[in-house]
Amino acid sequence: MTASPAIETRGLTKRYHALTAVNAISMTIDSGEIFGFLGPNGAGKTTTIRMLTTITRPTQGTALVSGHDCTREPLAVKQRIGYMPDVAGFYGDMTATATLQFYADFYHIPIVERKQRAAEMLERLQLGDFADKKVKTFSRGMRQKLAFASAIIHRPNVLILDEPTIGLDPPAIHFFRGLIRELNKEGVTIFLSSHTLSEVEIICSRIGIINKGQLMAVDSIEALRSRIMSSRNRVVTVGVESMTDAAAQAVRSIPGVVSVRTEQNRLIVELEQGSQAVPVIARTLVLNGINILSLTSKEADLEDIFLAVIQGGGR
Amino acid sequence: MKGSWHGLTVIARREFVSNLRSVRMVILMVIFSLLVLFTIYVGSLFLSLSGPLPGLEQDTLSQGPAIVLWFVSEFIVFIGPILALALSFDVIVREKVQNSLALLLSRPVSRQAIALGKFLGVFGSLALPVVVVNSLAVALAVALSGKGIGIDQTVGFLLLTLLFLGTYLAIGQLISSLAKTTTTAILAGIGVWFFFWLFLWILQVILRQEVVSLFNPGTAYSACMGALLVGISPGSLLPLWGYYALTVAWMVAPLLVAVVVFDRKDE
Repeated sequence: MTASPAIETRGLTKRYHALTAVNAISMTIDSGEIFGFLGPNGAGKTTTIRMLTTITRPTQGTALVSGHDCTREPLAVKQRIGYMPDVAGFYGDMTATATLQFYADFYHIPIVERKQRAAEMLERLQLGDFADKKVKTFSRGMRQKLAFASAIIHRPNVLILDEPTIGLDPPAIHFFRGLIRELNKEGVTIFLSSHTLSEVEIICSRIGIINKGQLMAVDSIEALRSRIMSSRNRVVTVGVESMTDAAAQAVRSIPGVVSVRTEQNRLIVELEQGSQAVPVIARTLVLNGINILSLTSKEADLEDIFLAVIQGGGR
Repeated sequence: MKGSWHGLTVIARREFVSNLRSVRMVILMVIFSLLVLFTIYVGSLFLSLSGPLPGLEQDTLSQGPAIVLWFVSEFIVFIGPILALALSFDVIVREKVQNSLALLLSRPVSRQAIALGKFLGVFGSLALPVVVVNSLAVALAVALSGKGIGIDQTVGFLLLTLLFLGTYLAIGQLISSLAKTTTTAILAGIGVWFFFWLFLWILQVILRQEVVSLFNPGTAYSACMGALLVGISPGSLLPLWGYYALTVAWMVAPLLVAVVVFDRKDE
């Protein structure tokens, strides 16, 4: 018997009157994955997350978390997930410790263990010195950390994070990234919605890209990259000491070269899809007396992939 | 469902403690206590100086503390709604505004349990000081008159008062479930108070129909208190048990609607 996927959606749809916020999304996220969920503003990321966390009911389709239906078994789903919303508000009159104990209480965790876990969480999230401070005095970063702690206090199987690092400074972002990796190593499946493409590229094993409510692509970054690269021209940038018109003309005449342009001490060459002309370009330049300082063939990064998918579809 | 009931108690406890510690509650209770004690003192003084009141038998007046409590109940008909609405108007909308609702909704607790837990928490936090203040009121009325009061009258006075306050707590929570901002909720709360106090009264005068008064929760409470404390006949609209049933229904109906509205909301 195979284990259920951590998250599985089939035709998941949410409509608000005439607006279809999420349109028939189907995807499977395996246990132990760190899955990045990307999309421009208003694409339907948060609505999808709200359906996965049972906060919002789907108009159509199903969503299963750890094998439990979000509509029919919301309590079973909630037992297994941890959720950090993009903007997390707390009860300002409570201390950080009391806040974590309050949220932990929903999971039948005995009081002694609740206290212990709250203290551990606050230490882990670098909030130990603020354990007895009221939450209303916390900065944005501290609130984000507290929201993260409240999402994992009950040791969930699936952690759903909606823009966890939005508005944080670089050290805090680095800290959160490390924490997400740690939790994943401990066996927690991570569903990460983020605008920060570099962050997703660094930590996610697979990504899903949503645009205008539709899931445009779901795959590993590598697979999407090769798909994008195989369907577009390749750009080679050659750093040179100086450039001559004759050398540029010679490169231009190489089969497979689409265009050549010079920018200060750089020669930028666009090649046809699948062209293997890079060594020929190098040899031609040397034969024309050009000293090559560097030669880079740019691969598509996540930003290229993201833009290519949302502009042209990438399924 | 087990998890949901547990969640209900977690939410009720938080609301109870948070409300009891709030500055808002302290201010409201100080005002309420002073007004109740003032009513008792003035009522007792008035009874010792004046003759029989119109519509009341000499026997009734001899009951002493009971009639003073009746004064207090008439005063609660006026101030009680303000007190209860002031505590409950933002019980749900506050969660939306401060962005804590999503964190709460993602916990293993149903929406019905959240709504009910919040009501019970706020109700408990109001009931505790109200019972204390009203018990003190009974003791003071007994002390000032030098006469005793029946346990049924004391318990009835406390229970009916809690039901009446619970009615406006439930109405306040219903408003809070529907409102998108705290400002809207405050304005709607004031509107509700005016509706029951002014609009219904004007409507009753215009239509010359006493039955209109039944649409005011204060009518049933007042009729029950009058019958219980000073033996006033509740009138011909309903038998006495009908007014008791109406007092309970006035609390249960808006509470059920508040729970259903919150349950069906798509936040």
